Amino acid sequence: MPFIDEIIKYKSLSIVGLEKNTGKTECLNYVLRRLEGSGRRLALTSIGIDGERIDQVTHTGKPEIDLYENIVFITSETHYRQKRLDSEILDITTRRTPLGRLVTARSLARGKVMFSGPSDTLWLKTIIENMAAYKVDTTIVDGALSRLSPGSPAVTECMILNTGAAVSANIPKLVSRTRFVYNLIKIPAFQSCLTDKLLALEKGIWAIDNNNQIHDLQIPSVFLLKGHEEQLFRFGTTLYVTGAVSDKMLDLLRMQKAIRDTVLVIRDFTRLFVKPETFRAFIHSGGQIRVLVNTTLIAVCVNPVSPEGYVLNSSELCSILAETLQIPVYDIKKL
Amino acid sequence: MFSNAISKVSGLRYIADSLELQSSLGRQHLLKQHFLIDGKDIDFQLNRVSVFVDLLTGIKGKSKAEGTVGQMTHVMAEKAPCPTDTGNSDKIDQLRHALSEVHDISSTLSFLQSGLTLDDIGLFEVKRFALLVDQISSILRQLNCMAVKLAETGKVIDILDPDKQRIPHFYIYDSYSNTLANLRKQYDCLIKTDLQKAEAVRVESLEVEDGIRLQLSMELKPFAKELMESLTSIADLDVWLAKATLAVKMHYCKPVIGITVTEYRQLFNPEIADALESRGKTFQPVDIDLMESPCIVTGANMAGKTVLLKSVALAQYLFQYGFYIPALKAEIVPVERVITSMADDQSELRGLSSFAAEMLNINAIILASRSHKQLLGLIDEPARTTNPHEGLALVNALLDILQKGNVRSLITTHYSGFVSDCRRLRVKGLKTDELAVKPTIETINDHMDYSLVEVQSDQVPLEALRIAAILGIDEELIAGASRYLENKRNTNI
Repeated sequence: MPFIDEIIKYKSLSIVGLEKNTGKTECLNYVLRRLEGSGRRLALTSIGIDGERIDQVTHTGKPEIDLYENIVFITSETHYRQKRLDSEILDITTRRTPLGRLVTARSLARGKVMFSGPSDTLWLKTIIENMAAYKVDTTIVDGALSRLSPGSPAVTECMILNTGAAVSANIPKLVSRTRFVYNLIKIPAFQSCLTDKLLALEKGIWAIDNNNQIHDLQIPSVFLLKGHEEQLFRFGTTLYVTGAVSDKMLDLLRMQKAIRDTVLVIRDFTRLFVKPETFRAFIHSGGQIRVLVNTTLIAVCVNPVSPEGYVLNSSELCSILAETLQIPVYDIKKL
Repeated sequence: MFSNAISKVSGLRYIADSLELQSSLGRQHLLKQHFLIDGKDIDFQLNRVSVFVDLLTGIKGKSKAEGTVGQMTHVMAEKAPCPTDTGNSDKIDQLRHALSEVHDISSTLSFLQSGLTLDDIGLFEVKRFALLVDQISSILRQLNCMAVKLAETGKVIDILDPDKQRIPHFYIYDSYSNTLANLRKQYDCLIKTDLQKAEAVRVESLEVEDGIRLQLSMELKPFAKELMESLTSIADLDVWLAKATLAVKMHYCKPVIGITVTEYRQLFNPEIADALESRGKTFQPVDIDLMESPCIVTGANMAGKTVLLKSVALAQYLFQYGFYIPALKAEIVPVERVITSMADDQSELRGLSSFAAEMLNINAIILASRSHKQLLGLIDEPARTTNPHEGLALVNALLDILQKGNVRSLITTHYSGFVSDCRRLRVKGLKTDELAVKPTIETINDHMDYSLVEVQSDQVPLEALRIAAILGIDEELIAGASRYLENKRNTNI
């Protein structure tokens, strides 16, 4: 498999699914299998827990991951106690997630572990950075693409996106939705010396003027834009929105005279909660979107089987996607 | 408790926030500290802090200001010396780092103490803690510091580290049991060939592991109490080190336990001093003595009388929570209670007029003066909100009660005409010799002399009009007031 050679170039990888049951767990297990014996030291964790609850509702099985010896893994106390393998505890946090503190451990034999992880992006980033202390080469994050999750997998250097029949049983629709997310992932990074400063901002809308000065526009959230419109461009047309960006905000910016000079900076692509049409219209009108944190999509994996049992034509799906996206596409069942 | 005092005493939160505590254990411990009344307890705490002050500043041996109760009326405390490169700084950094690694494992330890079996996470916590205790002990030994007693954790570490790796990792090691080691080997082979058999072997090995956890927990149980005590000692250590660090950095002094007189030399208020400094100004420290009797403080408006009361209150609290004092020298008599009556009480919120709120505070002081031997009363301008005629009478009566009860107290006032023969201090106020430069509202502080002088006369300084003029108050008002004063003087003559 070619994308394994890609993975080992990076220090961190997230594996995300466009929907549940797009084969994320299979993909993760596949990546682990392929990296076994490569000599790479791996670490594994996950973002949050919300994906799993849905699994328990639809009874499609718990996402247990098969580990082999000498993998560092981070999971919650609750899931650590349910592990089915021998492992050595290396550390435990004082900070808690809904499932308890996070345990860092090293697998000593083969076995299965259920994953849960840090509940926000910054914590995940710290954990990935701390893995250097255990001489980890690549950290793999079982990621969720959920608007509910404050954690974003975009902090990893590279990403594999999983899509499939669970997204839509209609191939053109499936391709169109996947292409949209692909386009969001491709949003270029904001080239600036201010990235770290901006990342540290927690709320509000900020303007960046020509002298690289950051100004608080005193607008608490994009949902409260009404009545503050005239303040938006006080310090120029480069704006940084810390939280989520909605259709409303993109539409409002698009309709202004300054749209051709407008640069909208967001934390990462998961902060955009907009319809494909709105996004296209914004870009078409000359507006630019930039992210503080970006990631490289190295492959798309498809699961042609939907949870209801509907099976799409795998080779047709793969070739159409590969052609549209111009990146490698693999059927997870055939890997 | 300190956590209550923090929200009550002006300036105490500022000090608490300035403390560089390394662990949440230390933070919790500080918040639970009691207001110490016994001089011996205070002395113990201060001596512990001074051990770390000496380590930080490189003074070996006994602190020069090792005060014992009863013999230091004139031997004032030493100010914390400036930090020098002591060669200890690496070790202190290591100590701080080790402290920051300590987690509060008291619930795990009480679990162990009650005879329950710990799981791997619990055993890991105990091992990690035991290794940290060992590390902290060794750093303290290198620093020649005997002030903290920690458990000897060698045996605990041996129990949880059979392979003698001495790293804070844990699992049920193969070396605990040959049976377990063999089962694990079998499992490793079987998992590739026969999953069902492998699972059976796994179940068997889990049973062996459970037996080992039970065994380990039983072996560890006798150490639980000692480990729990070390947890407390480490919390103490964290607090002492943080207090010492603050004292050295901010030049606080080690107070001496006083018997009759509380004496401050160059007392300052850290929060206000830092606020002034950030505006390019300096706080003028003051000297003040407090006897076992009331003392009247007069002075012009803006002469810092309220700040003086707040600084004295803060210093007393710091002392009785075992802190060094923001002063050059301090000798302090421990008191059972500090009671204040200050203008910033939120009386409106309680639905009381300012007069009613003040009377209730003063009543509390009077009641306490009858039930407590040692009391510090700090009263800011009593009866200022009522007519001067009755007001003066009330203050006279209050002074009588405080004098009779030997209450160590400071009473600020603008009244004159007191009957009591108690001590009188006056804030010097506006410097008259510097009138070449006219003070303005911005610079008025620079023209104030905040130092105190003992006075005999009952006359209060009449500077209200001058200060109002400096503040830029409308001239018509000031001219009018001057006329009235003039008329009164003429009729009196």
